[in-house]
Amino acid sequence: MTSPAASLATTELGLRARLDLPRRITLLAAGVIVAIVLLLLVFITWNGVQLFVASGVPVAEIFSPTWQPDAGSGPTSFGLLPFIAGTLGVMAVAAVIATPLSVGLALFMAEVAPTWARRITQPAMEVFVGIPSVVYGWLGLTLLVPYLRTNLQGLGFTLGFSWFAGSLVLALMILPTITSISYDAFLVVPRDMRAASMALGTTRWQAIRHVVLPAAATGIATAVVMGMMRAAGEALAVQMVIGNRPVMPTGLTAPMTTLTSQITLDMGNTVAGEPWNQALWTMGLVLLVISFTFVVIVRRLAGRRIAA
Amino acid sequence: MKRILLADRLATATLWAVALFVVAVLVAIIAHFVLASLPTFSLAFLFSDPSDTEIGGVGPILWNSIYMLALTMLFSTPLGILGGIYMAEYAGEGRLTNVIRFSQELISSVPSIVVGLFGFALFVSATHWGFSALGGALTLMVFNLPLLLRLSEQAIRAVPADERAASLALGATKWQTIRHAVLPVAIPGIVTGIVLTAGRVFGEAAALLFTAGLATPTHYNFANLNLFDPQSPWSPLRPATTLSVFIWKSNSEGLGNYVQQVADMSAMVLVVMVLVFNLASRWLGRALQRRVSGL
Amino acid sequence: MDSKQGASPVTTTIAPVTVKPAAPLPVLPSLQPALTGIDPHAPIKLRARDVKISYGARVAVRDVTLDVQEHSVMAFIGPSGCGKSTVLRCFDRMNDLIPDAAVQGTIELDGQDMYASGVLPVEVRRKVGLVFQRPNPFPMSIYENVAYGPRRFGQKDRARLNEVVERSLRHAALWDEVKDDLRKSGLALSGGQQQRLCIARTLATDPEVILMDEPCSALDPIATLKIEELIAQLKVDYTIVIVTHNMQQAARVSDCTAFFTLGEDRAGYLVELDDTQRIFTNPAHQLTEDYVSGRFG
Repeated sequence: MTSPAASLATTELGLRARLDLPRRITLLAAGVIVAIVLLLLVFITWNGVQLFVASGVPVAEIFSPTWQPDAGSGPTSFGLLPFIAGTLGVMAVAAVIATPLSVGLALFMAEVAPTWARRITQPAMEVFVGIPSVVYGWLGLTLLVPYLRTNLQGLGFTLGFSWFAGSLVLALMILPTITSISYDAFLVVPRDMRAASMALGTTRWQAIRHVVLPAAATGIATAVVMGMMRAAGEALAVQMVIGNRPVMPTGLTAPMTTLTSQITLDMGNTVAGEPWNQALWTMGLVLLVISFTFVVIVRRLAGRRIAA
Repeated sequence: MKRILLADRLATATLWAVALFVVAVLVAIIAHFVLASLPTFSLAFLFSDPSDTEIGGVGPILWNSIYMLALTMLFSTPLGILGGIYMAEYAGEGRLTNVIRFSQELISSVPSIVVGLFGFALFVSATHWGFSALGGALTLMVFNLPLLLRLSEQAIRAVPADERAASLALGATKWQTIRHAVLPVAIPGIVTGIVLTAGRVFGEAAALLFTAGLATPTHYNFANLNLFDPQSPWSPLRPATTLSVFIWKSNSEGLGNYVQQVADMSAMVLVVMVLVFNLASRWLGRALQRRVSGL
Repeated sequence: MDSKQGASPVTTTIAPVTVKPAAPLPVLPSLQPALTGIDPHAPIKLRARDVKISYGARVAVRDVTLDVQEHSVMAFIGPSGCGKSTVLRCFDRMNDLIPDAAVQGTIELDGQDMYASGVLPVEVRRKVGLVFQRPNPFPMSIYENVAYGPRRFGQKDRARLNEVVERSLRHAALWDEVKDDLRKSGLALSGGQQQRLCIARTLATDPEVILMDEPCSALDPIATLKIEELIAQLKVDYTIVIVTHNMQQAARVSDCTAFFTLGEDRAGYLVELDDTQRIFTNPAHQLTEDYVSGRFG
């Protein structure tokens, strides 16, 4: 920049380009994400539709409740309904179990806990998030399932492997997700609001119940949806405890299966190109559609929060 | 009035009970693994080869985990930091920025098993690599990158505007400012982020089943530096079961023959590693912070 | 609180205020609470004796002794950090919400010790309302904001609620501006309207005392004027204590004024309490004189 030109405006193109270089390089790095998403969409979609395109299975068939992929044992049927129902079912029950606990814990951390208690719960949540899903699965397999089988057989847990076991393990896994997001939602509610309520002569619980909770409602909804998203996509932990029976779910105590479990189990036993294998890719595509639906819901909720 | 006060007490008590319960569950989980492992655990477990007839060890498997973690971080850290710089310093409001953000959001939502399918299609089939540590590491990068990008962006954004203004006012270019004024201040935050995501990578399993594979060479000879020898511990193009995948595998093998003890101990190692990563990220972040602020 | 304690021993012993000889400060020879205010025979609504407020080991305010007469307006003035707001919030037991805050001395409402064991903060706060420095309506409709208190106290009858909402909004001089869109969010109002909404919200709980913590500091001059007019009207039905930074405001709205300042020990204390007119024209204390004439603070 020791150019003798008196003008302050740099006309030299080379210098401009050089100054712009870092922007271009960093943009390239950030752009890798976009490339990955596009590649992923292409690969999963392409492989996911082969069942219909290459093997000629009618699209409507995947909504059948019958899963009989083995051509060696009679006419095949690629009904994915048991897996979709299983995924949504196990997710819903997990959310039902985890939500009250998580929101309660978040409320505790945001509104009730003295400093010393917060110093315990905060790192505890971080460790909770960090524990790998296989560890939860292993725990479910070696503790929960045998417990259900031996002690609660009377309730119908003949095998232990069950919808309920899957949901309970998942609930534990999504608990920190829901907790931390709803905790953030509570923190955003101005402290003044609680004081205003209590200055009118309400109890703390009334302030929480009638001011803080309504104000944080969208945030809590986002938290629950994020938790459900994680639950729907979780594979190994669920697969280890759910029993993997490819039929429509019959009850909380009975074994069933999910999209992720079936992919996990069958991927290694099938050959690329055969309809059975293609159906597994279709399951992957369905999973992708489910999680993108959740993303859209989260975006909607975020939009509402900004509008409010 | 009485009812209102009673409700208040009841609610407070319930919230305390919930918190106590959740913390107790966490403590119980950790205690369970520690107690289950203690009777059979020895340091040799971390270094020796697996065995079918006795407890053996997880040496090669643990090495695979560490090796793949290093490989993943090698790919994703530079990309994550550079991308974070773009998002924090250059990206304005615009369509391009929105596309990147939306991609970030989408990719974080993709189930890991689907990422595994993607990795299988791209890094196993299309490349003809077969199951490989490299393929596994690239697949893990798919998770890691959006997270690292976000954490670096946050760390860089957290740098006070004054630091930037001061440097720019001295006539430094934007890049010089970022390089010498912003990044040094943001480093503690970025390092914390890297260590935190490393913990996640370490525990991931579903995405590795069909990419890094369920098998591993054993009897590693660390003097073998031939990167193309599939028996070399340094080779990126060999199958590499990690500790998490190994635990999952135990579940399909029946629970006899020490399998349960080995898996329990492996789970404890995994949990301890996660705790270590967690503590390390806090400690490193704080230590670097002191370094940066020159105290 | 429904049972009258009658002539409690406390009230009888402290009738004439005597300056504690042990007090280390040159305290207030002019402090004659019974003489302040409009009507010397009006009953005392709020009574504070040797109040000391501390946060942990740090003393925030000490040696506060004052009486507020019923249907009067008392202003608290003084430099920032002198603890005026802290004292104000004591009258509402809002300091209870701060961990490690401690209040010593006695504070009485209608002759009853409001810090006695067995007295619930909730009960105190229903009789004593507080208007905050920044308008802080709840994120709900105007109607719901005003109905909030009565609803929490168990009022479910729609007609009664409508009546309370209208009366409170009228009383807060806001009714004419909002009567057509009560369903609108309280946050959609202007700053001044929001503050009057907060006053209406307080009035709806039917308090006896209204505390105002710099209620106009976030408002423009016109909105400020409206609030000041409102205070003059509210005095008829309520007892008001207002903290203000604005000395003209104190002079305009209050009957008597208490001047606080910061001692050498970094703790605030009450320097002088008197008729507002006298505080501003002929204060007894040099510190007060310096402050009101602008030489200090």
